[in-house]
Amino acid sequence: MTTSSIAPAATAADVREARMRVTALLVATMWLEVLEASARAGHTAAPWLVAAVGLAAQLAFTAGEAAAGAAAWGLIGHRVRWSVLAPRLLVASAVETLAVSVAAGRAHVPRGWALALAGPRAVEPATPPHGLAAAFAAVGLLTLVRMLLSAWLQARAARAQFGCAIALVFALWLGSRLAVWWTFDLLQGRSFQP
Amino acid sequence: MIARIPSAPRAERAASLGLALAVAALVALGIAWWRDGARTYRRPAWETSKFVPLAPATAAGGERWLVAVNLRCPHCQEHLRALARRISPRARPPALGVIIVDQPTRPARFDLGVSLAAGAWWDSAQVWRDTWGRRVYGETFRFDARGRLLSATPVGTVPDSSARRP
Repeated sequence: MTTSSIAPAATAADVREARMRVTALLVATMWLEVLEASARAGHTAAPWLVAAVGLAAQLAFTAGEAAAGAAAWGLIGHRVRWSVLAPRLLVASAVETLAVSVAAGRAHVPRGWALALAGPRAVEPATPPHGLAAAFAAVGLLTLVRMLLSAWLQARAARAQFGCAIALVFALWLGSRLAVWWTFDLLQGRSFQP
Repeated sequence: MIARIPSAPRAERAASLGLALAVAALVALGIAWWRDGARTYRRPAWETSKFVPLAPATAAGGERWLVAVNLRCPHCQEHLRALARRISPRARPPALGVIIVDQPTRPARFDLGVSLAAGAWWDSAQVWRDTWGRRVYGETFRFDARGRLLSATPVGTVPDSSARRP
């Protein structure tokens, strides 16, 4: 007796997922290019090494964010796999590559626009004086766009309402900013205060 | 298409536990930050009695620039040498010195490669960290002749100028 099994054709959802992963891969190459060019603009000794380390950090952050996101979605009753969230978060981070280019001075936009788009880091490259400034140095319109895009992608993946997704994305983002603020202040203590 | 096995409950439990730990760590960090912010530290003032002299001060009067140096920190030692090079051409340079910080035992010997007119002082009582609340090595304290703090600046800054690189 012989049996045969025919693999079912790929569904539209599979095609969408494959497309998302390919887009995420393209965004990873965008990150590598932007980080390398920014390191070169900053006269760093080994720009490719800096870019590779930067990309690894970005991927690690995305992996952690996806893990936190999957757990948070689970807490509010929506099951979303880590492997579904991670490529979407990386795709949403594409907006941030533009912000990094603006902050590095490669986008050649007026100072006011640079501040509005990429946040205070674009016009104040020196080390921030305190944790609050460090934590929110990158907040600009592009951060808002990234969060909205991330929320939209996550809402679709979780089959949840957009409002719910934006609240979750904002809560996780705020948690990460608070961690940077408080860690910076604890490491610096009262140093440099008059 | 390969049929996928639904996420195992164990993985979901681990993710929830991870999130709970992250939230707990954030809360702990917030409490530590709040307690540190509520603590009162004293404004730095130069009082030689609080420090152990390792190399005598040879300059009398005038400004003192004291760099907080940790002997395992090459970055802050390089800053000290750069400051010394930067002020040496001046007609009346400030007296440069060091406060050796986070050093549990008295250093047997040290050579920082610069002349220290304001002396070298060992912070045996952790005044820099515990009384002044300072934590970043290489910080340069600019004191006037009476020991009052004029400024405190990070590595890479000349205390009496806006220049970033000494």
